[in-house]
Amino acid sequence: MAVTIPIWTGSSTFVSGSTGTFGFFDADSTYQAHADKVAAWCAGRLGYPINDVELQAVHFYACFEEASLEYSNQVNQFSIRDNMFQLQGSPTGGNLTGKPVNTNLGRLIGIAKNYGTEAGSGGYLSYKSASIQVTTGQQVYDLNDFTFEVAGDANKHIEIKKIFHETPPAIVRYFDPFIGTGLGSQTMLENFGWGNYSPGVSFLMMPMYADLLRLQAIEMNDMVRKSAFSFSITGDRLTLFPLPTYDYTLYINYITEEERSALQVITGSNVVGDFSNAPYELHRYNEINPAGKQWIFKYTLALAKEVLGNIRGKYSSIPIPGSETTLNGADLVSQGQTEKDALITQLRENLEAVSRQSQLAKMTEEADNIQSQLNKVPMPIYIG
Amino acid sequence: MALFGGQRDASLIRSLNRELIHRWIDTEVLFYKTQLNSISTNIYEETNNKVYQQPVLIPAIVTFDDPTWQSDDFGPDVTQTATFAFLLDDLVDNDNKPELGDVIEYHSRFFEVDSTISNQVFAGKDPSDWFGGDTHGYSVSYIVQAHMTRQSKLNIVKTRFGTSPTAKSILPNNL
Repeated sequence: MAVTIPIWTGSSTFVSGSTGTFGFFDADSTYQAHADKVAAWCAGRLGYPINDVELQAVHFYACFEEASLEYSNQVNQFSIRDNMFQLQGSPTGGNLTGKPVNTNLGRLIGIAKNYGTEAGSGGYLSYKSASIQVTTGQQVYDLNDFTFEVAGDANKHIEIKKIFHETPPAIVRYFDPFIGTGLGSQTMLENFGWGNYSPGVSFLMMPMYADLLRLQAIEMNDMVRKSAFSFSITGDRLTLFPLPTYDYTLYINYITEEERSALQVITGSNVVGDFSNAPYELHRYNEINPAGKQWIFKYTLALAKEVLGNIRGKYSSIPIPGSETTLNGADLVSQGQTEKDALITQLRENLEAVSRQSQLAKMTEEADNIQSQLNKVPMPIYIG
Repeated sequence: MALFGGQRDASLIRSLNRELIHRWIDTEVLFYKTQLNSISTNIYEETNNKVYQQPVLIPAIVTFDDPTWQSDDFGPDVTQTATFAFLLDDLVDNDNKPELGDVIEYHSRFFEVDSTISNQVFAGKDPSDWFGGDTHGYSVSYIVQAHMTRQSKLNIVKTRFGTSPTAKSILPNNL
């Protein structure tokens, strides 16, 4: 029983939901109206009615849907890529398709927080403290002997962020009579003959810079004449300089290496993490502008060529009475692929040309050019 | 069950062949089927008066061999053979397959069928006699070998006469 599989008859009737496709756009009335027109147009471009076109309406519908999907996919991919910096961490709800996304500094500051951690200013990690009792005459201490704020950290690799071992501030020795720099006010009072009036509570109003100069003198004196306060760490050994002359508690700030290397995951459900859950839906066909629709039509034709080429190329030679012939399957496939590549390239180039970065560059260039032009305008001399 | 050469593929081959032969090549021949039951034969079942059915126009791919001229005691004579390749579907649809003795007219010449061949099958299967059933394969062609025959013995066209502007009776031009 010979079975005749119908091929393109010159017309078709699009029935929503019965096209053998996914039906992503079937509900769109504009899409419905265009489906049959695109099918007829593609058939015409493939040679119908002079040539038979060994395709059915379902092939054209499938190509049309794939072209529409491809267009939406390309545009959405570009938007996701362009906005991903802002999108990551934002809610997945809603639909951003076709909507501009303004930049904000949230993610940038989020990244900067890691630098804050290193600088001891903000950041994601909290410094923890540990302490040890410093004994007079003992310079060297083992970090393992410290008492850690979190007991479990004693067995972990830590990174010391700060050791509170510093020269006492000069202000606490302001009145130190043995400081070497001397409090000049007492001598001055003596010289004025007022030294015996009230030796314990004599005051003289001095300008602020006199205090600052005195503090600087104390610090300079310490630096030149005394051992500097410093320390060294080698392995687990902490050595303090100078030799402690009294007992006190030494504090340090630290983080564990484990904490430093921990992933900073933005917690919370339903937040954008990557391409896969960025809230971009398919475009509505009727909202795609004519330029986009034209792209879809051309891509549909390229796909139809590919399909027809595959059909005609299934058998390398076709028997005809008394001979054999070859069809143009390979040519059609090649044409279709070339056209598809060209269309994709064209679309991507167009999208790249309107990326946020490109637009900013253009605006800068435009401003520079305008300024350059304005600089050529003669400036009149004002004569009042 | 074969994976290739199913009815969908066969339909494609049929469709392509029809497009090629009917629309692109578009050469047609007139086929005269011998009407056996109208022919009177002698005791040896021989006859000089063949009768043919009304001709049918059938698309075909025609391949002529060069004519061969011979001269003997009876004068010069010409012979020519030709091959007529039909799409089998066209013949099945018309229920009219050329057989030996039938006549094909093409290019104002008449060819008598000498032999027929029908062994060009797609995917190696003829659905009419494949043991696996009729769901695979496709018998593509029906090739007819024929030789040019004399018109005078066919009784299809009137020969050896002509029209004379001066005579009432119709006589051959050369008489």
